[in-house]
Amino acid sequence: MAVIEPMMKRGKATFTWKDLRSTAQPSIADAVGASQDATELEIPLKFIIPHFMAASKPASEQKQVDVDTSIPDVFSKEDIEAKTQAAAPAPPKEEASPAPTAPEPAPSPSAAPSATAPNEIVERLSQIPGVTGALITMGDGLSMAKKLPAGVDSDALAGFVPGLYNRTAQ
Amino acid sequence: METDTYFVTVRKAGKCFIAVLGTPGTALPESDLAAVAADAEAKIQ
Repeated sequence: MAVIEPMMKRGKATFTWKDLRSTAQPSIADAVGASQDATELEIPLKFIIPHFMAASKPASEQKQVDVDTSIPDVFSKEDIEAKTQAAAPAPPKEEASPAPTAPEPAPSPSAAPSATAPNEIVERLSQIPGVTGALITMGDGLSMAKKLPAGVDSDALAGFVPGLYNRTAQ
Repeated sequence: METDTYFVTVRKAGKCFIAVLGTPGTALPESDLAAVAADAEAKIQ
């Protein structure tokens, strides 16, 4: 193989008569053509290539990977349809049982106040006697809701409030 | 130049802060403020 491979790359296979004689099967006597030992003989590639290819087979077979059968084939249309049909009956079951879904409305009202709650609280605070304004801020000083008297810089106050609380709460 | 003066009361409600402005000399009903602050803490997360 080591001898033939460079010849294959070159596209021409040549051997000296001495090499051919020494490797021939059945063996040829050394005396036969000894005077032509240095003569180069070209062997047609069409005789060599089949043997070369057979000898240069990959040593190891391709590895087989075990694929989990539960993983759907995303490229198979039939597989996707089967999955969607299997998944489709599930939602109607949930809809068919309205009794357990009764508590569900609870989250939606709680979600709505999260947007309006700060404004509602500011409104309630401003109705308390003696209160002239109210402001709700995030910890970073961004105002969420405000109802302040004219002339009060709400952004400045909002930025000031967290620091004021942290200093006075100690 | 005229300036308005307010006093500020700050409370913490969850991750938020509530600032209430009052006029000097006017007492704020602490119980009312506390009730609203408690409500705010429950509603604002």
